[in-house]
Amino acid sequence: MKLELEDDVRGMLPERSVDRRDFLWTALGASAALAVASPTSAQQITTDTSGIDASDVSIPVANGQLRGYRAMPLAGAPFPTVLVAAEIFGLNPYVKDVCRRLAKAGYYAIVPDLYSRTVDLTTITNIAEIMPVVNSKYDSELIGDYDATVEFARASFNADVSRVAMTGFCRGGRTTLIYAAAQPSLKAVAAWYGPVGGQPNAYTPRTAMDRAAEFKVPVLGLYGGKDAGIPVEQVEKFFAALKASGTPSELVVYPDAGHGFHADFRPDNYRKADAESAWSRMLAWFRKYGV
Amino acid sequence: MTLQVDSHLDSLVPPRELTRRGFIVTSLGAGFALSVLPVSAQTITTPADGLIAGEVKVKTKDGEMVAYRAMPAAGSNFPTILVISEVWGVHEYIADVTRRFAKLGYFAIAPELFARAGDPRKISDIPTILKDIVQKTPDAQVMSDLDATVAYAKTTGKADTAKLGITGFCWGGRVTLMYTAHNPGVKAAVAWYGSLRSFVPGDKAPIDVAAQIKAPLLALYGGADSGIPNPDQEKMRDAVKAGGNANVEWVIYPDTPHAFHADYRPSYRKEQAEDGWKRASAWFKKYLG
Repeated sequence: MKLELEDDVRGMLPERSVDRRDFLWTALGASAALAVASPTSAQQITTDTSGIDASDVSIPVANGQLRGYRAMPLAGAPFPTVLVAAEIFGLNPYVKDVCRRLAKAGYYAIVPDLYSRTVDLTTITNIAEIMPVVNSKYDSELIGDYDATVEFARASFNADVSRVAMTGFCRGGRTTLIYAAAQPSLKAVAAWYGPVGGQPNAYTPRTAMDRAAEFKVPVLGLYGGKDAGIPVEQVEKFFAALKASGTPSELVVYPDAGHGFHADFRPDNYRKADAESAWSRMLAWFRKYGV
Repeated sequence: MTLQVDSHLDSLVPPRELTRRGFIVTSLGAGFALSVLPVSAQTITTPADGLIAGEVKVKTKDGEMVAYRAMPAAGSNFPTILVISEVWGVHEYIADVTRRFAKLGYFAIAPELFARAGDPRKISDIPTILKDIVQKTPDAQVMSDLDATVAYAKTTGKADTAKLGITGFCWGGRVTLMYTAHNPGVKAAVAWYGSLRSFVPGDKAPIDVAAQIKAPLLALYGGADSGIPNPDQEKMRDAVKAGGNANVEWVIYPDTPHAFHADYRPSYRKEQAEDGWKRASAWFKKYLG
């Protein structure tokens, strides 16, 4: 069996195991498993629910329901909306916590589990089983799922969907870029170390780079200079293309950070100072564009 | 003016200054709210034949509040039902529901509780309605205005306010919960998909007053309400029961969205709406007569 090693997954791996495939899957599998439990490391942030309302939700989509999670302040609706895109580990405690952090900043934050038509990724601890699931998601379906998520937010009466931003991490960073290219009504997005290139296939026929000229939404890129899977030169090229097309954008590269530097539940990846700086930049970016 | 409520009820209302800027809306006019147009073809229209139906003025602490009132043309001493609107205020749908209750023999009255803040019927988008109208209508003011509405009903000589019911939709479903907790004189309540959050910062959430809801409560919710997750519905139901209320019927219609009774909007679900209405009518019949 041949497993493709995607840019974002490669970047998550401890450097020492890159050329030892068996160990590599085990190592990442352990990471994924850890993502299920909470808290997994001394550094993992757990945001409480005081002053906010956080809940699992079920989001109607074209052919069924997606599991999801949303958080918002207790009172004062409607709130500006932030769509969140998860890593390859599904609706784990980390991405839910990110939603609560956004709620504490005044947003209606919502994350759909794009893969929940077929499986709950948080129940899978073996990365080799996760990859086929996340790699067989059609971009076209992904775009529809986020449109449906916005509709869900609108119908809740709690979200102001005239002000929508989006952010996502790792594979979710790519999701963010793909949706931003397709949905010009977004006001701003922040993509955390999402792959901009890759090999086109039936599921993902065009990369973010291929779509660069179509962006209308201001893009903030938050990348690690030592990302083992996503070369900085490639990201710089993408942002240069955005600039050339007239889209306001800003690329921030944290020179000593690797991939996944915001993932506080993976001690090998997490870099506290960079994560905090990037988080502030993201909030400022959203504010700058009216969200 | 003197409110026809016991003084001990005042203590249930947090001490908060009522707004003194007067009433912006002084007449209801006709038609649906702008933000819900166009209305669907299945919209129910209840004629006013055999009824006395129209606008009245309710004296409140700080001026006159317009309300829509409907009752049978003949007779008196009708049990009273307060009808509380959605975020769009007392527009055509609410007036129609008020007439539907009048046809069943009730003195039904829908006060325009947003009248101080503005006219939600003339605003085209919901976020603006929430910000400019709903957030400026705190619970203390709403409770006081509903007390005044009950007092007004009594003065008409047509309403039996000892048999007091309340029902409401969406925002009004939440108000139904809050007022039932506020006024022990309420004898039956029917809350349609009432929000379980507070709209105004500083106001309590329904869960905070759940134990004070002592009147028989029928709650009608959609299992696929995007604003009110099922776990929240169940938590509220359990909290009301835990407060010692033995007469709670909490219905969650599976796969049903918010506002399934709103026959003028795409969220309408005929079967659930009709079932809910049947249950609501039976509930009031049982507890109000």
